[in-house]
Amino acid sequence: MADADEPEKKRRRVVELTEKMVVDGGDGHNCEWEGRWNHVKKFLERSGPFTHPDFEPSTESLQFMLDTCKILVIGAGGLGCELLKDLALSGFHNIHVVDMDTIDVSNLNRQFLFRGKDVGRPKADVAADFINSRIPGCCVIPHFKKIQDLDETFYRQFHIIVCGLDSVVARRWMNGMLLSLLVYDDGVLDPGSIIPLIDGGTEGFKGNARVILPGMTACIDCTLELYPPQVNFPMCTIASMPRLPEHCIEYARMLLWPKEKPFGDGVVLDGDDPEHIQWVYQRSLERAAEFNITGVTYRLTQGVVKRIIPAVASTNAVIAAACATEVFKIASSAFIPLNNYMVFNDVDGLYTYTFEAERKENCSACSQVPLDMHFSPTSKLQEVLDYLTESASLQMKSPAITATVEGKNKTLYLQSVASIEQRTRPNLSKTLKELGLADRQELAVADVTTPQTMLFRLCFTS
Amino acid sequence: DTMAATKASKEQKYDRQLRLWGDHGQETLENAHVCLINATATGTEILKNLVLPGTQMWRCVSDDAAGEDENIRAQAATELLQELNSDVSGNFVEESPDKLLDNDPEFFHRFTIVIGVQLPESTCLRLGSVLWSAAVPFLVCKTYGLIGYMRLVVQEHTVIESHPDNALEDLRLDQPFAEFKNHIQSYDLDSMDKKDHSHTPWIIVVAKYLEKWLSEHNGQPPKNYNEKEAFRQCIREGILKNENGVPEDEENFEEAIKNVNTALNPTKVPSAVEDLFNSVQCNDITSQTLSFWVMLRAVKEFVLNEGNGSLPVRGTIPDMIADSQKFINLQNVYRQKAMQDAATVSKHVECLLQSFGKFIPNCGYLCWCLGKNASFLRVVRCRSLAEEYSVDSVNKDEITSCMDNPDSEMVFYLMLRAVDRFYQQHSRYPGVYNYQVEDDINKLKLCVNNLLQEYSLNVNIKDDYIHEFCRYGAAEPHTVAAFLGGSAAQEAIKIISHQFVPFSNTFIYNAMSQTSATLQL
Repeated sequence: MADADEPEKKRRRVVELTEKMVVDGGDGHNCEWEGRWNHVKKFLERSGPFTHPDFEPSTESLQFMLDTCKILVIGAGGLGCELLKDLALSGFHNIHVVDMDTIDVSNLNRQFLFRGKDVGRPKADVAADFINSRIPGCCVIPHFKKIQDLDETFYRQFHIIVCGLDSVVARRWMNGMLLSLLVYDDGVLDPGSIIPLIDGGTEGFKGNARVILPGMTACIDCTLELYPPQVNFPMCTIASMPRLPEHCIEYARMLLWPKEKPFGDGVVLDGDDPEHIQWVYQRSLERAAEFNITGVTYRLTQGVVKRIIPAVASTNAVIAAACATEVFKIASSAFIPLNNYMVFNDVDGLYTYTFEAERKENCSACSQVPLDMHFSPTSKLQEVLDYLTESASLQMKSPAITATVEGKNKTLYLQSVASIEQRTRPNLSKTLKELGLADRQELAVADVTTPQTMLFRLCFTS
Repeated sequence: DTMAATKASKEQKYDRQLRLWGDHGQETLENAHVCLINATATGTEILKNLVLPGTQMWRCVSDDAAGEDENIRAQAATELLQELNSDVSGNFVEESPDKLLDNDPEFFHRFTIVIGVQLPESTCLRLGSVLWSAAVPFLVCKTYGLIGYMRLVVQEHTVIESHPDNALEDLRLDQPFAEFKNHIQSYDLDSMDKKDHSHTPWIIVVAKYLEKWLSEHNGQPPKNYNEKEAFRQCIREGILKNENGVPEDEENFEEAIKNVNTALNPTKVPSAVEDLFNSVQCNDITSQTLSFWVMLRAVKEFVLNEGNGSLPVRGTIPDMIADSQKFINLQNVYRQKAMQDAATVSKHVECLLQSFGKFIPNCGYLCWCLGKNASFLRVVRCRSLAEEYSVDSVNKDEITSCMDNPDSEMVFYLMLRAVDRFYQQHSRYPGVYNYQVEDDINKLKLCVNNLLQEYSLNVNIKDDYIHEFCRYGAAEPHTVAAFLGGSAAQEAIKIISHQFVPFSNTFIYNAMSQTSATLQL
């Protein structure tokens, strides 16, 4: 057996090498060592038969990646931690990371930049600290913010943006932001205004990675059907005929909590508060007992209340790695990027499927022409609202609709400000004709799913 | 109480993965001994993805041939990895695998799995042989330029909980068991009030209309598209109508109509399971036979006797429109039958082991688990490396048929074999230094031709790939290492936990095109 006494010389060398791998503060220029970027240089300084047509071997590409190339990582969670590590170790030393969350114990099985002592601290901050202190020369700048809190001037500075998000709404917003940065000269897209977007997603043992060139290739909204809306249980099942333990849990969450206000008036159910979950769990057990339903557990209760998606380190590692490879390819032109969507599943063996997602001609985000919507003049505004929220290709959350009526800009309906909601609510039961809308007129719709207002053209059917 | 506190905090930390493989799966990880050879970028990524989910006991062996720095890197990596997850403890063995094979090959016998990274061919084959004899699973991994390679070497790996993505339901509508028949009898659709009629589970609706159909069609169920359409129409006509003759809104009937196709699937033992029933291990039970095969044989006995040709009832039904009581009662009919069948299987197990004076602990529970998964049992068998590499048993068919497409991932397998040959001849890999690249292309081409000739492989490898592999210069780029790190770790977890199905037996990842393939070699 080989782990007996360590010779002193060996021990000193271990400490030395550990220090190389774990360094306090790196200021960039005097922390390179012989052979550090050998792996990377082979792809930047050598020609080859499979490189991108634009590729030219050069010793300057490495310097570009190290000194100049700016990458934005969105999300510092399961994918984000892996992305930061992969990018930093691949030669990208100017990275920004945005994440609005703080660290939870349940993150620690995969978000490896965090430790038990970091619970409660902002993910972006801790992730940046870890990378900056371990990878000499790398500078990660954290932003403990929502993506919507940052503006055009912020996003415009990046060469490539990589997303490791867990929300379709956020993805669509990011997608919309990059589309809004596109510049058209006489109808021709200026390639300099394109910021490539690499998007990764995981769920259990499944994942996907895609490359989006805004204005050129399929965008998030072009393939919205790939993200089917979350299915909720029907209210009548929850309220009067539960069959599954999940129905009992939703009953406690949606009906009992607002009625009984167990922790006080106005106290919202917090899925991260064990006392709250315990309360829901007990009530769910009672409900289940009434109907002879088995299977309510604390773990299931938490899963339903928080809409938990199972997650492991391995899937995140795989998808983040694929995304980081694409960042490298695009930054270096060393190879042709993924065109443009890869799906991964390792439930049974390992399965990947790569295909080219196509642009949708009438995409609500990137097609640049107002979308037609067809309604009879006697349709109620509520029907228009339902179309915007329920259509598989739009999936809006709480659209605000405005239109120009008799020369003036009129808010037809807006949900997010209480006073305006109250004032405009009666409009929902009025017909489009009653609201003064004309055939072929434009409606402007704003929603959380997009940073820009979307234009629709109202086409009256007879 | 610190033990309870530790358990609670572990449950919190591992919550997201416990929802995938359960507490029993987690336990296998925490009891496993993993051996990783070579803490390169790929090796440390694999280990990180095992340590994070809680693999507690691991050893990292370094390859002397890689140089002293490599040794020390392994030790440093070990220290960092230990810090990664405070629950685990690993250590570092400063000895090359070749030396261990020379002096102490039994060192490797204690491991649940051995993972070898960036191993030269000779070491790999030697190790493969030792592990094959000791029946220790061996996972070979290599990152070479933009190519990732994995080879699983395991004689026989059994999986009860395969967790298939799309499993068909086990409803027995074509051959209702007695308790199910009685339950169906207890319903009289024609005499029900509207509320009950609209909240009767679709399974009952289909069963009732099927009874009627069978009596009118000589006991023959609907078989082709036209008959199934007619059957759907019968059900549709059963929807209640209001006083104006307009059909009411009966969602349960719509569900019945929608599910006719799958509901009429005949119940039968899947051919994959039949194959397992026919295998030697299942039929020759000895005192050494593994539990899996004893239980499988018990299932076979059940199928031949009490099951009347069918597997034990699975016992689950999907959710459907129904009032609580009707649904729960129906669900209980299936559940109770499943428990009964599992108990019968358990008795068969006892019988089989009686003559050896053995028993399986927790047998009742295990048989119930087996019954739930009987349709999806899997056994993975991979050939030994010796068989893959032998001229007599090389899988020529697989290689030549894949290479009909000269750009198939198979070309990367052949190139990896060729660079191994190059290493044997020149004690280095091609193109490591810039000045070597051009000359090495020809040298590598000779190795390629030599390889194809030795195995009589009539395939053509494009010069572009030979050039590209010289360009790679045996680089281990981090993003490719990380992709392989995630993939390999999960395969190792499958081997350790016996849940989900491992690949068999060669996996190639191409980071240039973001494609992959699984090959049988």
